[in-house]
Amino acid sequence: MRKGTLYCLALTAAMILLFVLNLVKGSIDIPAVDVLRILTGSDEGVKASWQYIVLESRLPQALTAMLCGAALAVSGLMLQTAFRNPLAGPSIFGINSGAGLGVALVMLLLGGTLSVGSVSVSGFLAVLLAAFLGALGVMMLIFFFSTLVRNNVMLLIIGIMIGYISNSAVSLLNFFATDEGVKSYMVWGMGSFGGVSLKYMPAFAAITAFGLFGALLLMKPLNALLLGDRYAENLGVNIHRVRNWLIFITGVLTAITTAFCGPVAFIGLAVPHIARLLLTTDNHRWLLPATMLCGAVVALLCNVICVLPGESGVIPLNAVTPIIGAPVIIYVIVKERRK
Amino acid sequence: MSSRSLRQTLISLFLCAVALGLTACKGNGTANAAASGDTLQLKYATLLTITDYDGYSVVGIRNPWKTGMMLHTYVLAPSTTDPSAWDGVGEATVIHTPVNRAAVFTTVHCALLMSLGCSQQIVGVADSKYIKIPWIQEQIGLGNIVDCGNGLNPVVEKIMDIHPDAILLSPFENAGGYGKVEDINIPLVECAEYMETSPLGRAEWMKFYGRLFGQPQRADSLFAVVDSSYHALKTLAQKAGTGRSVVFDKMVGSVWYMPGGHSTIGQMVQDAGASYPWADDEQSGSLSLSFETVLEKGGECDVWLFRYSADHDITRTELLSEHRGYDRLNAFQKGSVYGCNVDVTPFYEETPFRPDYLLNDLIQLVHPELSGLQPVRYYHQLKQ
Repeated sequence: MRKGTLYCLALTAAMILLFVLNLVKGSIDIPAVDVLRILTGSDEGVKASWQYIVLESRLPQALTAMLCGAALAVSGLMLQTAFRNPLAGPSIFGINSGAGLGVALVMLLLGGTLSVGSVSVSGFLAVLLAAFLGALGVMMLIFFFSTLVRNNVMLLIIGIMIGYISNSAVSLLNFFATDEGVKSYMVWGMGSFGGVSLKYMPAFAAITAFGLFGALLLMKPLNALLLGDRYAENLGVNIHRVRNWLIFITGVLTAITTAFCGPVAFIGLAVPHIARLLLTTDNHRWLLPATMLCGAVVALLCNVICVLPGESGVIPLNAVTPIIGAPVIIYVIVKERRK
Repeated sequence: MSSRSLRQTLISLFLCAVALGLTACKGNGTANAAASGDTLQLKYATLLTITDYDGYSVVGIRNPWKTGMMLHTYVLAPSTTDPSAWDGVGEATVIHTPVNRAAVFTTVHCALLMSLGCSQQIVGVADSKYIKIPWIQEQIGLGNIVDCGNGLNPVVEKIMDIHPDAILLSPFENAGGYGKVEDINIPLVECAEYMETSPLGRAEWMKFYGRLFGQPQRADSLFAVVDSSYHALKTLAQKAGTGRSVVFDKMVGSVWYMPGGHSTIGQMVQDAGASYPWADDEQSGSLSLSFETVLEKGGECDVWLFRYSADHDITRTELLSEHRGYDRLNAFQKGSVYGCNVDVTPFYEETPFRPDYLLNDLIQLVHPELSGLQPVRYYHQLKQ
């Protein structure tokens, strides 16, 4: 399909362009020449703080945005296909809320320290671990229910209910917390691609790449699912197994991105629709890679918008993503209605 | 039909005339009252006016969020004064002074009342687990002081049960009122002094609270002490010239909230003679900055002061585990990092009404060469 190739190439070009823009543009002005010199290693005479900013702040942040965007978008696409619901997204199974609950427990109840037996971690690591454990916990729960409930829609509803229960616990914790605790939690909830330092980058990148690769493997069964469960079964697809893999992969991707970046809104929900609108196809052979690329592009774009105010401050990520995401959703709904 | 409408017009005209007449009388009343009143000269507070009349005082609080509007007007009078005395004041909440039973929803004011010697007048508090005043905790244990729950959403039944003469609480912008607490006929004292930007302006509000609790002289003299000691310290710092440069606070998640140049802390840092990279900034709140910006503008600063909340003293290693980039700050490399654990020190309880205490700390950290100051009260140097 020539259109698919064309779009994938165009999206790759846009992604590279935005990646570079992410390195050049930040809260402070560093001349592009100096950024280039820092990147190529010929950085004599360039301010030491600028080297740090480019290599250890902007570079990991751009990489994170790219991976995170791709991961969330592809999770959204898989869930929308599997549940035949255009409004499904990575947050729908309550996995985000599970992460949120984990973080709330650490930040608001345990004073930022997580102790398991004799091992005690505090600060950033504790938050990271809590988010990951919370997300995994909810994923396990969904897994457990998926053995009891065969109906996809019912499973979706169970996911939403688990999300509500986590949120109610979070409200309770917030209500009784200190001002500082509430503030830290609020800031975490606004999302940021700046959470992955170079130290954690290998782990983050490896797990995300593993999830993205797993998603690519599901391309064919996803196409079969589009035809409906009966047809898919006739084609030899084990619906139950595909669903379990799907939950596992989206679970891992959501858990890792939420742990590092906080609950990033809308990318998972909106980007698959953007990709579908561009490609005008439901064939996952093209849709899946295009959604990943599109996710990376949108995330990189949002990340640049966040630093636009320059030295006077930053805009929270989750204030930017819905501005791009919500109009797309509205467009899709209006279009569906017209059909 | 037409005669009926004529009659209606006449009636409305008559009502208008009466209303006008009444307003005029009211206006006269205010003018008369103002003539006999003695306006207390407040040196720093910009949101507060206190006027003493024969037998009562009128306290006006300007709305910090809407210029030109009043937030609340209070009439403070002993219950023996004839209510007709303040007829001309207009819409005002009358509070009988001294307030003998108060529900105090903010720790800051609990601490102030303790230092004004009015602790026995506190009968209720809110968010008791965050009040770090041992005596209050003890009284809660004995049942003499009641915890009314969350300050933003208190348990109304508990308040009605203790039936205080007044409730002291913190107003918020656009919070949409105080909910049910407004409907139980207990005067609400809106403690808006945190919106004063100058440190002494905020502290000066103690004159209002002193009048409220029947200790005007004590409050006035305490403020005189604060005022003079603040100025003595400021002069000392000025004589010592420009001291070390300072960055404030630390990252919350991905954001560094830096006090603006016109914020209370921003002004105090400058009063302490420090050079502050954000001194030119006009914000009276805080700035949400990225780490990049802080590193660029404040990376070379000599001293780093931050507030935190933890059950133990934070170490440099722990600090670094929160954000790797901290080791790029000159102050961190030189070991000039000072933390204030707000869970252990009474920073938030004391400094609003004792800015001189905080200034004393700041001056010592900014001008280590100066001697003869009080020991550092809130900040401690971080260990490895």
